[in-house]
Amino acid sequence: MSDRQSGNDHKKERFNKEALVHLDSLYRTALRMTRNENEAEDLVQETFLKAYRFWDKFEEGSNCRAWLFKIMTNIFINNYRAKSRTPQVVEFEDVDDDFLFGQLAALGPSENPEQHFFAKVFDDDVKRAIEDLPEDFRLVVVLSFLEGFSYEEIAEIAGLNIGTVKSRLHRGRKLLQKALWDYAVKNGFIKEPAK
Amino acid sequence: MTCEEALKLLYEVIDKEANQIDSEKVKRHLEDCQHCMARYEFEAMFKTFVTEKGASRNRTDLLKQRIQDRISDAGESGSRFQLRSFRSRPVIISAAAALVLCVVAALATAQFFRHKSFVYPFEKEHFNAHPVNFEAVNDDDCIKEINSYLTPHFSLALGEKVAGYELTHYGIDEIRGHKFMHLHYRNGTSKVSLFIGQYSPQNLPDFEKAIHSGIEYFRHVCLQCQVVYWKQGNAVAIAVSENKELDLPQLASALGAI
Repeated sequence: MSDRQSGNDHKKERFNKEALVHLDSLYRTALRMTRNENEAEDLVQETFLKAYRFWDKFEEGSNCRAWLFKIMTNIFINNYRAKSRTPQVVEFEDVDDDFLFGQLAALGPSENPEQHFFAKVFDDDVKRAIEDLPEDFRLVVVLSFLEGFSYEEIAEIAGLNIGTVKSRLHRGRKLLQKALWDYAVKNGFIKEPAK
Repeated sequence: MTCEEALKLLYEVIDKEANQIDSEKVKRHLEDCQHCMARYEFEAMFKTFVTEKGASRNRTDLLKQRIQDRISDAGESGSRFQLRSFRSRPVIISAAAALVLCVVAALATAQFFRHKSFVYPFEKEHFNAHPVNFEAVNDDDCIKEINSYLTPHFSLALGEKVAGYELTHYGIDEIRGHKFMHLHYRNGTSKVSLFIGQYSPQNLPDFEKAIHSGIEYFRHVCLQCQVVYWKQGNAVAIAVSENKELDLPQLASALGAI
């Protein structure tokens, strides 16, 4: 009995040290994915409880953070995505690769439009632009930009091949740039040059 | 390497996913091609920008406690659940490409953070300094301007203690387009922030809005915080603390804000 007890304590201690330290990182992603604090908390809690249940399946020395993100992504796709109000199939207007770069360059070479743009756009706008991305793109953008995972890790976490990760990330970047440009114009930070 | 080829590798190089040979080729191309260099710099800046601004800082201590409690209740179980294991990937980055990116990142960071003010504990939207005229303002001018907001008793000496609280930082920010000065105090782990703004004939109606959105904001994002605010002549002050036990109005008064 006491052996079992100490085994449990050891497991909890290891779990605390290796898994729970990633709580902030998982919550940040959960918040961008669910766009809702309560759902994000539930999602993260469910992820850790599941991870704890399967802790003996986790290989010591392998990448715990990626393992946790994979669990969370699976739960999200199975349980949360269905509830989402946004349609999954979205038609995009085509955005040029260098859309934002081109728009800013067109504002004139003398006044450093990029700096002006980056200084003016609010954190809120960036978060909203990320949250407004269609889910497929949002997931890879968040995992890459906010969490710093490699393409290979993202492929593993999201169950995609690397080519798909690349193309979604590419597309996600463009959509994000377009959205931020639109906010900046709408909020009057930038005057759109006459066409 | 042509421009077209260089731009094809753009995101892979920025994301540090390109192989060493490609990174080298891109680097050599960028040395000769200003246009591509500008594009690379821009995309690197954009990535830094989204990474910095898109991440929230959140309070997760309660959530952590809840998870730990649940784990203590959880029974043991095994099952068929399987995950392929992750192995940390050996990271191979060409030193040259890393150097290019370091320079680009350093440039970008310098541009972003030259103005970024210290806004603990509220590193959030409204207070993410879109500062007024910091570029031209030196410390003396800043102090002069701040003094014009304050009562004569107010001390701006960094490090000086009032009622155990030490002033750790001050500066000027905008809240919804209105100038506010902020002061940050600390006493051990207990922290207090004061935001003080002035009514002026120019800003009358929407200054109120700025104040209320600031207060609303604090109450909303920081459920554990206490928020008090008051008017004094043509100035308004908002005091916020994460320490709920603290007698905030009394402290603000001791600090000379009232």
